[in-house]
Amino acid sequence: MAAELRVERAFTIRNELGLHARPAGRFVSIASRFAAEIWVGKGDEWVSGRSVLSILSLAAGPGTELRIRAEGVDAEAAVEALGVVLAATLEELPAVEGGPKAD
Amino acid sequence: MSVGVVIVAHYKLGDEFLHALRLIVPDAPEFQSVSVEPDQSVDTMREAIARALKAAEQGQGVLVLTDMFGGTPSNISLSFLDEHHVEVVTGVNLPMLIKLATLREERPLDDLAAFIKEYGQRNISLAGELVSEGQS
Repeated sequence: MAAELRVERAFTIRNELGLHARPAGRFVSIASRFAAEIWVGKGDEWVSGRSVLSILSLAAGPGTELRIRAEGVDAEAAVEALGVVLAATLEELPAVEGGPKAD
Repeated sequence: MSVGVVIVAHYKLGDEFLHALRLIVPDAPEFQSVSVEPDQSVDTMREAIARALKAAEQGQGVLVLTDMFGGTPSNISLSFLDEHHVEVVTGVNLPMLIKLATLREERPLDDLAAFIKEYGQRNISLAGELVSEGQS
């Protein structure tokens, strides 16, 4: 198995408000669990998948097709988990542990 | 990130910033907030800030974010510069807090303060300009 894996897949925004702050925040929280480098693309525009504000700058409304690209050992799992966030409605967003992080 | 973060602002602005931050980043680290009220004495304000600095300190210093340069929350925060390992950045906004809550790499306090000041400024936009950029 190659150490550096590159995975890229497209997802359609189903959230009726588009990719707004809460889903973008969830995307970044979940992205932080993976070692892979992560980008999000709309057309030719690619931004870091680790920055809430950069993701918001894509201004991805409902129905927009976004691509997630991940490079690294856990790229496949990262794209899988993050695709769920992009394709989710607000109610379907996967939960992340709330409250302060443990020291 | 092992630099602590404290917001010092008028009324409950800081609490509400943290409220909004936690909506967007539910797993944000714990940041402190100090509410400065007009009927408080300077000593009361200083004590509240000192308590928040102590709670936030993890050994790498504390980044204090105030709502506005020249306001009392800022002025009193600045008085801690000499006696504590703190940097004060004025004009806090939500993008700055989201960035601080999601940073992966650790940065020394002075470097982090300079970065977050620039980041906050960069994330103020005129929507009309963004739209015309997108069309070009």
